[in-house]
Amino acid sequence: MNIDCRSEIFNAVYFETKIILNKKIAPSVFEIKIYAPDFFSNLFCLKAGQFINFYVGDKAMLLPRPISICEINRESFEIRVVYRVAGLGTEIMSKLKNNDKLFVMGPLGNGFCYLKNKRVWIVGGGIGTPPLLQLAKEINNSCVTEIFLGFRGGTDNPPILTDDFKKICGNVFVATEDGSVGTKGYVSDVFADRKKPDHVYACGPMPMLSAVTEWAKSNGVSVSVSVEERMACGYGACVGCAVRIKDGNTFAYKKVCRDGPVFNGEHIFF
Amino acid sequence: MSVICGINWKTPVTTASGTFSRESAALVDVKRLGAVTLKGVSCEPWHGNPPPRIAETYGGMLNSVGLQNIGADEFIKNELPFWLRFGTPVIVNLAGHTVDEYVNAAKKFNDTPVEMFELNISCPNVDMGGMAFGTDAKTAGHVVSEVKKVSAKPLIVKLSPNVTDITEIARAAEASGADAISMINTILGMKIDITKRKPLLANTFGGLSGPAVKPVAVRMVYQVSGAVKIPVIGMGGIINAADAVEFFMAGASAVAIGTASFADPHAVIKIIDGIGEFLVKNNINDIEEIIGCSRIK
Repeated sequence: MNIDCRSEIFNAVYFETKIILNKKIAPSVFEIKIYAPDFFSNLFCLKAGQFINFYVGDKAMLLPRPISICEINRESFEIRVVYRVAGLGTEIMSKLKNNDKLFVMGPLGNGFCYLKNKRVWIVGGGIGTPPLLQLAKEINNSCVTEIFLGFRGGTDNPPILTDDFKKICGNVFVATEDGSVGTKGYVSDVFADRKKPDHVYACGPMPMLSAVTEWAKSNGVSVSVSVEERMACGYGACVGCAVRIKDGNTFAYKKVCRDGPVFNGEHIFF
Repeated sequence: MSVICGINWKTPVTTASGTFSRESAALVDVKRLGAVTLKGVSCEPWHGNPPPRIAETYGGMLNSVGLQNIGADEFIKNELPFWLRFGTPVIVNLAGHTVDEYVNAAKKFNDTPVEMFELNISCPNVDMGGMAFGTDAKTAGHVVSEVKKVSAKPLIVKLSPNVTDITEIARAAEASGADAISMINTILGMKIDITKRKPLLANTFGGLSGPAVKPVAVRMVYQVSGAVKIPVIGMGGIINAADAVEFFMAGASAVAIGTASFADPHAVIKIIDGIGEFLVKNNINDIEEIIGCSRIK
């Protein structure tokens, strides 16, 4: 089973786009839809797990905000992203209105491999769940899919996108640390007693990815994880977004933006 | 056209080392550049520093990449051919931990068609070597003269701003055979994550670049171009044509664009176009007319 989707192809484009929706969906969490026909010139390279650079346009904040693609609409040429306001840049983004313009670049990075005729799990945590929505849309019809979504819970960190996932897939399981929604505990508490899948896709905080990878390894299941790291350029020039990857008996730093953000979980030093 | 150390540049603009990759070449027409300066290369591969390596700061950014690179042999085999096909002069940035490593790196590239070397004695993110060579006039002079002895290409020496008197280092480099000076490398800086109460960068310190450093860079280019006769390639926070013109007027014969490309991947082309427009608008026939024109005699 080939789960490596790394591609040498680089077909990102940089252009000014238009906001068609910017809406708060949870405390500090927003969704933006942009009209981005330029991204659709090569349909095969626009994949779940890829990301887009958003250039906020504030002179004091030079660097783009890299945000993963949550949904791809190939009929209307729209891209939906879901992001958390984590600093000044995303705060400015959250105030953009319909028809406001901003520069974007994408698609960037390598997406998830789309498996066929397998039993797969999709495991998301917190603000790591958005890229898994498009993945679920892509593979749900060709794989037996179970989806596990974990959140901290409470009024500040309630579950997000769970209804969107439920529209796509009948097997969606939610866990919250405080038990406010779904099962109390972590996603691993939910999936532990279910029948093993052939493959696990995961995106979320590093401790969760580490735990999911450990589980997968000890159960002989392959795992793809999408990671994040602070980056400057987003396309491979600055070599800032390093992740430690196994390389024979030693290690090498790979670029999250260009070699990832999706990696074989077993290759990562967590 | 500009002539830098006998090499023809179609425009006095290059890229700053470590900010321009193959992907950049898909976003920017490399043929329009005066020269393309590539990321630092050492004799042997270097891992670089642990992440996080990047921190955004007001009007700039810190990096502590630590010159991660694949090493000269693999670079010459797999990376260099890509850059040689544009017909734009290629500048290889040479990194090392010791004088021997710099010398050996230069030797490895002597037989390649690259046009110029840039000796990186100013990276603030490596423990041994790097900036340690560029912050002492005697040490800087020594490494420059040793590399110059073996170098078959014009040698640009890239200086660190993290010194008391940068003209002293520049003079030492010139006296030791440097053909040009490039400056400034990044300014050593730091950011603290106030929620974790710890340095944000895993390496604690990093190099500051971007518009925040520009006034320091302009000042130093002014000082150094007044102190040496060899050309100065100015860089540090240039994000538009007006910034570049400041560097020319401070005394730079050419400029390099770095961090601006992260904020706008087309920045270098916009700056090249903008310099051209400035010259036309002000009836300047040759950029030489404004190089160093701000100097108070």
